[in-house]
Amino acid sequence: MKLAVDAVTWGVAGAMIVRDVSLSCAPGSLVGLIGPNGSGKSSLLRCVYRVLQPDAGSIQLDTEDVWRLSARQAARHIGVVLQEHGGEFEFSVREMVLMGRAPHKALFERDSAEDLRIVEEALRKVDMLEFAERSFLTLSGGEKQRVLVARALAQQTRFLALDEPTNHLDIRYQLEVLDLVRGLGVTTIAALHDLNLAALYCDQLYVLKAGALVASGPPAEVLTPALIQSVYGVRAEVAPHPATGRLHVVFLPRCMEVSR
Amino acid sequence: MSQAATNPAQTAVRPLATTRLSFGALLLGLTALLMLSVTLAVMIGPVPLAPGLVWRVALYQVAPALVTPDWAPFQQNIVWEIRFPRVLLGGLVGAGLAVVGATMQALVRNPLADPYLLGVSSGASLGAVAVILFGFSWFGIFSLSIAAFLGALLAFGAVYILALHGGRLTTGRLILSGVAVAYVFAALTNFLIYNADDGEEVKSVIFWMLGGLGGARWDYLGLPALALALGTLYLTMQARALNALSVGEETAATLGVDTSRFRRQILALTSLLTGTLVAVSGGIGFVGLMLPHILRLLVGADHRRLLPVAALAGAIFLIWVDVLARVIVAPQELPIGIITALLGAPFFIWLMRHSSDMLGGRR
Amino acid sequence: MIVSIRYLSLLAILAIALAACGAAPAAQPPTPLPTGTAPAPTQAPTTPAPTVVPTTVSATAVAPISVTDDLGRTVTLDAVPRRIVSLAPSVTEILFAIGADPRVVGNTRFCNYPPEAADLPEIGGFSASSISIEAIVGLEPDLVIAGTARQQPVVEQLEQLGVPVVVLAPASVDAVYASILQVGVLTGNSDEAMQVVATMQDRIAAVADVVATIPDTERPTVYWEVFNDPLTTTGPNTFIGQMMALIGATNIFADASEDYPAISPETVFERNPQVILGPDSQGDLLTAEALSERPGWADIQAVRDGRVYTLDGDIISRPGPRLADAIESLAATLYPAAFGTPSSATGGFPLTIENCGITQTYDAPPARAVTMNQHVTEVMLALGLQDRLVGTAYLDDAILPEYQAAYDAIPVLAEEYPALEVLLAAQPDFVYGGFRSAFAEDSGRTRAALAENGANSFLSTEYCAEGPVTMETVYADIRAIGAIFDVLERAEALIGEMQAQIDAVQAKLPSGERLRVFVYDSGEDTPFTAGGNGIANEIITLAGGENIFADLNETFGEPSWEEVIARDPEVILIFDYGDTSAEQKQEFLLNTPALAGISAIQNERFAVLPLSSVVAGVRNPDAVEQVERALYPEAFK
Repeated sequence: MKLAVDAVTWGVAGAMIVRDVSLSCAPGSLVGLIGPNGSGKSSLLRCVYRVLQPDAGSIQLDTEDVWRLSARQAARHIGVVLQEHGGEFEFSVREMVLMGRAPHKALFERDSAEDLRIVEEALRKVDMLEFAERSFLTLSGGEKQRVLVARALAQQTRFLALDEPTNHLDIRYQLEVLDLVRGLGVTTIAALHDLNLAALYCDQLYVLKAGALVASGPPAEVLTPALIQSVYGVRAEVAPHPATGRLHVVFLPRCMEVSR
Repeated sequence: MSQAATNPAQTAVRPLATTRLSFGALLLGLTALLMLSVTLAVMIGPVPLAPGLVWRVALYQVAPALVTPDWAPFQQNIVWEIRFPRVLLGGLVGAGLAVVGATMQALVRNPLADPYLLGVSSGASLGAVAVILFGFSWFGIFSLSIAAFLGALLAFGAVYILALHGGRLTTGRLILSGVAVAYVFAALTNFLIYNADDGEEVKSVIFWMLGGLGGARWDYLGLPALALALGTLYLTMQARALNALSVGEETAATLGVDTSRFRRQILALTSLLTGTLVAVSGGIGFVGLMLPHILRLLVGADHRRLLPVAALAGAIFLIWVDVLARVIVAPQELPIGIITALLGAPFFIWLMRHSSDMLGGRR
Repeated sequence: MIVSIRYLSLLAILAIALAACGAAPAAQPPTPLPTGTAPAPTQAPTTPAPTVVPTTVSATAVAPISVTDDLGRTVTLDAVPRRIVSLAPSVTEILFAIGADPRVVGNTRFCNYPPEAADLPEIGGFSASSISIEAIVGLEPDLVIAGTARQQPVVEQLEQLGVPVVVLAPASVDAVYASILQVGVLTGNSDEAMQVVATMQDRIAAVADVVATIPDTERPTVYWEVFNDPLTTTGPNTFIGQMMALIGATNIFADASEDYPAISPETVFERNPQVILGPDSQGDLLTAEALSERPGWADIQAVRDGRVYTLDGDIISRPGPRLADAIESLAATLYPAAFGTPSSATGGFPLTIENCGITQTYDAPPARAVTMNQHVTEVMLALGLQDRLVGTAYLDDAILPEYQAAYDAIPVLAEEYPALEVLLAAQPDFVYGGFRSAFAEDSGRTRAALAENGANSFLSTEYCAEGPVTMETVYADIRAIGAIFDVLERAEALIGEMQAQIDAVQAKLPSGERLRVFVYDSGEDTPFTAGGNGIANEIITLAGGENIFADLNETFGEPSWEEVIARDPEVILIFDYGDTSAEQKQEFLLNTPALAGISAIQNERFAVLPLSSVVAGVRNPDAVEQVERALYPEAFK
């Protein structure tokens, strides 16, 4: 499934949060959306997964405008891992993940054995199967995050949108989740905080600053010290790392000078 | 992936109804309990009647050929015109309030929500009070109920319009509008009460506002029964959407729920249902707030289980509360609202203390 | 037993009256007190019956006045109060009934009886929180009378402000009497108060007497519904409860422990009352039809028999002078055979009345009546119908003292007959005329004209009777008015009293020849006298006399002086009215030489009757007595 975001603009109360952003995700690619806080990454993602309606522009999955689909239809195509957690009520982990099957279920349809199998599979993939009967609210932040990923997996969509999926996670789980997503081969767009993870995993990067797109392309092209300085306001050194073969960013705090 | 760093002792199993089979058994058990409650409740009242008599009168109404009447007319009237409608109405109202309460809590994602959150009860009170104090009787015996229902709709309309913002309803605005509207209607109601110098009318108003099933008659049962059946059916059908919505707004949206439209539908439905119930029984409190919590502790938060169980348990609960109302100070009656408050609050406190430290249960 | 209570209470009243009169010179014009000495307060004797509330009463109707009210508070007034504020409708009714109403400067918004009370400035409602202290103080009262112990907070505030407050909280019929008397003492209208109480007691005793004759099997069980949601009834200790007991009815909830318990319909079914009653505020809900719509109620005996009635809610709930009305009303409702038609809004109507050749229909009792001429005004007042009167006209001399208070409360439309416009301005739906001239053709006030303007009318049948007018004519009119205003039981009671008085007086008649009587109304050239057809003739006959012109086939006629002389009357009965006084008429007769030979002139035997007594009305029994005393004084020694 390919995503085409075309000149999307969105604002609230007179302030423009997303300005005329266009991007595309090739089928099966993992696209990273980076930028500092407040750059409009989350809002753009919300437009993509059909929670915010852009003031201008369009968002197309394959050839369909997402807003031409019903919420249900869209949910069958787009799986989302949100920042939003939990709520007030006691659902078990299994019940939480089972909610991911909802877009595929008709009004009177009960949960089939197949649904239960999909849920188990998803939980196993995120290593949360032992917690299936636990109350979701009793989990730690990271455990909750993994369950939400499982839910998105259970949704079995051909497109995934991840909003900062690696927040709260131990480094180990950060890597495992991104490995998992990468291994799925599903078109994915992920807002990422960590530039190095972005460099490691993403095929394409889009850089947002103050709601506008300032750079796009493979990480090697996008992540330059000049860009990092202009977007993030910090000095950095960028070079391929021998162990991974991918770009690695080293940040230079003011108090340390590079000594050669 | 290897073991999570949490205490295995915390992986307790949910106490009841984990499998489909035992949930079915639970439903069956509750239904049986409901039938038993109806049976017993009809036998109890200020005028002592033999149990056998009660059931022969009932049978006679249904299949006259099978029974020869050997009772006085007043006994038949007591059983068939007073007690049966009253017990059945209690069941309907209890079921309705519990179902709506659970739904409202999911809708606004707040455990303190109850059916009267959106000013429905205060609107109904204003309508009822106006009829009681000014004696309008355009609809004859149904005047009070119709006025209460219209008042409820009026309040709901006000809440809806206030909460609408940019064509959308947000949960926060709903709650605040509900509170505001409730205050305004309550102030108007209190003003009317204050200006009424007839002590009897004031007592009647208070009695109504505290809730009571005293005026129950067969005519009153049809509409609430229909509303309850359709409402519960619809809500149970929408259980998945309610589940999602109760987790979060965005979660629901991403799981395929058209949140603003769904919320409007649920609001309209619950307001109509609540308005219907309040119109025939006054403002019976606590049932809608407390019962869903207790039931969640037993069957979990999944609305596909919670709603049917709420209906049955709510019915049983209110039927027994009404029995108490009739019996405690016979031949006088206590308003039901007083008893629900007296029973409910301490029980809930006990339940909370005996559960885990979270507002929920042990898992 | 009600009878013995009544006598004991009368004893108490007498004792109070004696105490009031005995220790001070007069209860009439206030005499200045000797400075420095205060009259000693005398104690009213407490009677063995526990029902009379003892009051501590000052010896005079003049200052200072000291009473102990129903909350045990002793209140002293330095002078007779001139500005009184009433805090309850019952208190207002008492004040008006005893004639203290000119001094009432403010009352509650529920004070609606008599109608003039509603025009007074309002100080709030009935509950303590709805009463405005400012409003009360602004009226500068020198006495405030509260009507219930629940007004305590107001009482306390007024006390702090130095305003004298007396609290009446009667809980029984006898306590109501004591309240009325106490208000009488407070206002210096003790005489009027005693009269009011005596009248009440008479009426209630009359009811009790009739009730005593009713066998137990005809005494019904009663369910009194105060309110329908929640279903509320009355216990035995409220006024209604006591009244029902008083008239021998059984309240099916006489075993309740509260005053107004909320009950279940089951119990009503079980106890199956024969009569269902309630206040008229429940009007639509308390009809047999409405009740049969309640599930299961159609099988209750009262509903099956249609014995479902409402009574005027005001008169049954106010502990005041209309309690007698309430009891009569209750009795008539429960025992229709003994008391006449029940006073429910649906009894007896529509009614068709033929009066002096004109037939009219009444759909309901008139509410805005106007009376023209004194005697018919007195008939209405004697029937207690002052609340239906919106105007009176043409007083002859003075209204009977017992009706003075009620009379004063009604607007007087004219000194003589009002012009048609004035009459119509009062928007009457009923006009009661005493003389033909009331509906004179040339006045425009014809009965036809009135009918066109929506008013039924009634002419005293004395003026269209064929043949002689007797007391039966008077009674028939009273009954007709009673039927029109749906107060037949009162009408019968009044007739009974009148007849009883006449019977008593006739019992004293000496045997032997009747004295010959000449009635001198007026006239110098020719005498204007009473003929054989008017009530005057009947009065004379009943009084044991013989009208010398009984053969004159008119009510009033003009024979000649020669005839008078020829018939030689032994007593001359002068009708007193108008500009010429009775003395002047007597002077004239004595000084007319031609008449000197008449026995009555020679023996100077005269009697005087006010004209108002010799027209058909409620004074006729008194007139009979007066004439008899004048004719046979020895019989009354």
